[in-house]
Amino acid sequence: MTRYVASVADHLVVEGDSLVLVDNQVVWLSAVATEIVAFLTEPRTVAQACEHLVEIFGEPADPIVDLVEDKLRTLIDQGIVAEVAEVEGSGKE
Amino acid sequence: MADGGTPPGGFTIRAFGVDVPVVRGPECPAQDFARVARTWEGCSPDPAREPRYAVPPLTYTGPLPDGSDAVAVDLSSEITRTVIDHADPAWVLFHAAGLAHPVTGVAAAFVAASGTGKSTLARTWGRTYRYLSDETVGIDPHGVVHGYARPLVMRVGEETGKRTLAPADHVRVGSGPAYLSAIVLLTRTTDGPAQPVLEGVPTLAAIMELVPQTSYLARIPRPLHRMAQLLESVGGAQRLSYRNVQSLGPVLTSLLGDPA
Repeated sequence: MTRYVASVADHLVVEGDSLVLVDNQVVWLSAVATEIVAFLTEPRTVAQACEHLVEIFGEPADPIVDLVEDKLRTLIDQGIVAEVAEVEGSGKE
Repeated sequence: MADGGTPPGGFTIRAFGVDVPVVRGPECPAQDFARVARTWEGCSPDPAREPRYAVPPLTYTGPLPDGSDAVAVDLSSEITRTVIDHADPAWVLFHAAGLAHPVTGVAAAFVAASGTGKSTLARTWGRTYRYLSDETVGIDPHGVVHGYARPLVMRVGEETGKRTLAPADHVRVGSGPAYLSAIVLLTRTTDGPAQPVLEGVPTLAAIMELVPQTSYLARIPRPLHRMAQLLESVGGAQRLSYRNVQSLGPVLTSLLGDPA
């Protein structure tokens, strides 16, 4: 199971949205992306991230897995989140 | 230097806690060296305080054969880079003009990119208020604003090149502490409002605009939080939209107090 972790130099949250500093660049994050980055202070799976977002924003009408995966891809492209290499047998759901 | 005497071999500039000695090149006329030294009098060190850092001396080689002041202009740029490079990382250095009330020391940083109104504002209103800088202001962890009264660089008369001029001959250079009370994002446009408009800017949007105008952001500890604290300390950033710098009197009075 792939896990993800955020790695930023600074993360400032103001009224839901936030700014992150990564590689000398400042990136503005939406409320959803802000919650994802704040949640990924330690390696987590997509399922865990989805569960966290439901706790924060409530049960959505449609599944949010695709949305979260899309957000994670964007955050990875921006250098804010990285995939964590799994050690065999260490993963747990 | 302050008594009008000629510095025999060199003088020292201090800005943002960094000392930069300047020595006279062997071919440099003493009279021209004294002139250049005078243009830097606004950055004379306080002998009672130690610098946080000192760099090796820079050499002023004198004017070009055609009388151009380009060497002094380049020296000014090099000194600016040097002091910013070695400034205390705990300070926030904004690319900004700085003005302060001449008596109370209430100060504002007018942040903007190059060529968008900082120098004009500082030189115009620096005759009424205390001039801190037309280029960079440093804000220390106590909210004290440190100016940078480097030589003014401007065209004189019909000359094609620029000259360095002593700020004290053109603006009101003072001493004593100045305290940050406003961070203002300058927006000067030819189709801007005839009457200047001052309005609040949300924190994240303000920081996004401040970041490109901040020197060495990444070396400031937790820089985004530091920016937010700084903004909170002055009640948030404000945007000043205007067309004509001469119209800014009432706004500056509201920001800094009546200078009379």
